[in-house]
Amino acid sequence: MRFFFCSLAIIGLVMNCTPGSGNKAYEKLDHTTQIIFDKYMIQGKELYQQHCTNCHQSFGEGVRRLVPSLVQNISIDQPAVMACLIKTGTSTSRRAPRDNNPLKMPGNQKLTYLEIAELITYISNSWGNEYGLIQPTSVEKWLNNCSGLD
Amino acid sequence: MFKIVFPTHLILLSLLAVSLVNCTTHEPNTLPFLGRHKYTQTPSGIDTVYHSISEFAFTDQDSSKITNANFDGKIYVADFFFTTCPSICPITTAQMLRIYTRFKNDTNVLILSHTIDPEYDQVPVLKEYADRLDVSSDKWHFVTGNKDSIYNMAQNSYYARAGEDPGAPGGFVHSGAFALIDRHRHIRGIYDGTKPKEVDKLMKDMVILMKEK
Repeated sequence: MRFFFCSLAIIGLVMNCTPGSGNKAYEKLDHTTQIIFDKYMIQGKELYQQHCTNCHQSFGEGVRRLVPSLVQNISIDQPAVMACLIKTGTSTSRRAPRDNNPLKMPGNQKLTYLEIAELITYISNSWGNEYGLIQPTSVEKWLNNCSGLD
Repeated sequence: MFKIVFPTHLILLSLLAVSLVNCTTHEPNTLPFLGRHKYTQTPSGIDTVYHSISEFAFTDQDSSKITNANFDGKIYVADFFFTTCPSICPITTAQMLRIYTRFKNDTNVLILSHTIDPEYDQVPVLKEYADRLDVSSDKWHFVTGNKDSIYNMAQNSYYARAGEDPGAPGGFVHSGAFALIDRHRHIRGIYDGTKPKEVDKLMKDMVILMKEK
C-alpha cells in the first residue's frame, strides 16, 4: 500500500516537471514538433541567461519600471515585436532616446533566426506565458518587416 | 529480540556535541575594519587609525548637495554605476533594491549610488532612474558631480574599480562592489553586488553593524 502511494507521488512529481506542462499550445503539438519545442526551450533558456537575465532577471520579473517584466506581459502576444526588439533593441543611440528611460535595451545583431526563435519560444512559454512554438521561418519574415512596427 | 536502548549519558553527550558545533559555526558579532591602518605613537602606547572615507560633495537626484554630513550617525551602502549601463548595473540595482526594501523603515540606514558617467547622468537623468525604481530620495541618493572627484572617491576611499574604457559595454568599467560604511566613515565590508548570496551576507552584517555604538 505504501509502495502504491509512493509511486503515485513519484509519477505526479515527474508529470509536474515535464517541460511545458500546463501549456495549452504545447498539448496540441505532434510528436516531432514536441521534440523541437523541448529543444528550443532548453536552448532558449541558455540564450536567455546569456543575453537577458542581467536586466530582465532570472524569472523574467524585470526591475520595477526600469526594466519591463516579461511575466504575463501583453507584448508576449506579439512575437513579431519581440523579434525586432531582440534584434535592434529599443534605441540605436542613447543620445537619441525614444522614451525618457535612460536604460535602453541593446540590440543583438549577431543572433541568428534560429537563436531568436529559440529565445522567443522560451520567453513566450515561461512564467505564465503560453504561446507555443516559434519557427525560425516566422522570425525571418518578422525581421524583414521591423520598420513597419515603429 | 533486540531492544533499542538510549542511555542517558549518550543523549547528553550528543547534545553537548551539537551545542559545540553550534558554537564553532556561530556568526561573528563584530565586523573587521578594512583598508590600510595607520599606527601612531602616543604617550599611552600605539594608536590605530583606520582607513576612512574622505570628504566629498556631490549632487543627488533632487539637486540636493550631498556630503559626509548627510551620513553622520548612520550606516550606509555605497556603490558605483551608470544609468545607461547595459551590463551588470541592472543586477546590482535589483540587488540594492532588496537592501532598500529590507531597511526601508530604518532611518539609520542610507544608500549612496555614484554615477561614473556624470557627463550623461545629470540630475534629470538620475531623477528619472530613481523614479522608475520608485525609491525615496531621503533613503537612496543617486549622486553626480565632478568626474575626477567621483573616480578618486571610488579608487581611494571605497577601493572600487571605476574608469572609462571604450572597449567595455557602455564605455565604462566598474566592479559592481557594494561597500558597507559605519557611523564613523570606516569600511566594514565589501561585497559583490551582482551575487544575491553576498548581498544576503551584507544585510546580515548591516544588522550586526547597527548594534555598534
